Amino acid sequence: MEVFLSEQEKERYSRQMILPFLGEDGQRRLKASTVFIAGAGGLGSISALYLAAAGIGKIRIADRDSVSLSNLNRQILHGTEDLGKRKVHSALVRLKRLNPHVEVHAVEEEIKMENVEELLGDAEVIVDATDNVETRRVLNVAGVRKGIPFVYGGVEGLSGMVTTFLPPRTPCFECVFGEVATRAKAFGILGPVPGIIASIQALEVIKYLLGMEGRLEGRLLFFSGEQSAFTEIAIQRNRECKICGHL
Amino acid sequence: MPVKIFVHPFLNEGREIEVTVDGQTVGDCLRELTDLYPQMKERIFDRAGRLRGYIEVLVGLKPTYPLELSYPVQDGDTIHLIVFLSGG
Repeated sequence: MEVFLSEQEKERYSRQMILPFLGEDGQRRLKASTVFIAGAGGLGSISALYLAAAGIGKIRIADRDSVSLSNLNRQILHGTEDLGKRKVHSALVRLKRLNPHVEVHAVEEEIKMENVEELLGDAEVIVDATDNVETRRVLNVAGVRKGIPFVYGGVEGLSGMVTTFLPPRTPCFECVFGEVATRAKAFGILGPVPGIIASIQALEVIKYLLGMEGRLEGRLLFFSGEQSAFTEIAIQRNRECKICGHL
Repeated sequence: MPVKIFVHPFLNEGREIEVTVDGQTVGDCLRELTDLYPQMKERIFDRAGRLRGYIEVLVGLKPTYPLELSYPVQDGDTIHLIVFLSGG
């Protein structure tokens, strides 16, 4: 289906459309895309805002929580007036206010193996904005089944990690973090840290949709806010992996 | 008591290693590890000597939280040090 950009949209995206690797074709590609964001918290707030601002055509976002006061140091999709409201509600309102050209499907549901395929719909990329290992495992399985990237992000304190899982080009989440167990640790977090990690996730999504090279594939990027430094390590497939080993 | 430690590549300049140490607890073993590999100390412990929040310690592939450093180990145990951030 031909994707049409109005004059208003061309003006809105003009500062990115002048980039030689993007142009009008790239902008149409973004508009034709669907992205699933798993969570509307610290990471989801930032990735959703940047992806909506960039002109992703359809954003599907799922979260089951309500906005609480302690969320507001980092979850900037939501404001004081949203306290007590469902996060997906304030996400929908905020994203539509930012960019009315974006179609937003906000679903108030827990992501589980039983509903993940339905939640993903026609999404071409999964953005990890969850806060637990179990949901990441569900998203990883769904991403491997559909053959779409799972852009992992995780934060705690002053630290953050990010990579793109897309087997067989890369390992999957299970290959790298298969031994990780449920964590009960309470942790602190400074808002700019998820801001940095989720911005990189949003960039990974855009680069993938545009078919650009240089993505975080097979590389785990670690950010230390304490040192203001990035470190990366190579991550490798586990051929025995029970999730992606068959690929 | 000899205990084997598998160290996540991030803690050792991108190289996964396996080290055998002695100790009664996870803390004893990690202190010997960082004596042998001082470059890992800052990545494993904060300035107050606490385990950094991004490190997951497994013994026999079981989580050691909340005991972590005081978790007892036995002859032949295997410790995995994994770097993982779960917050979002």
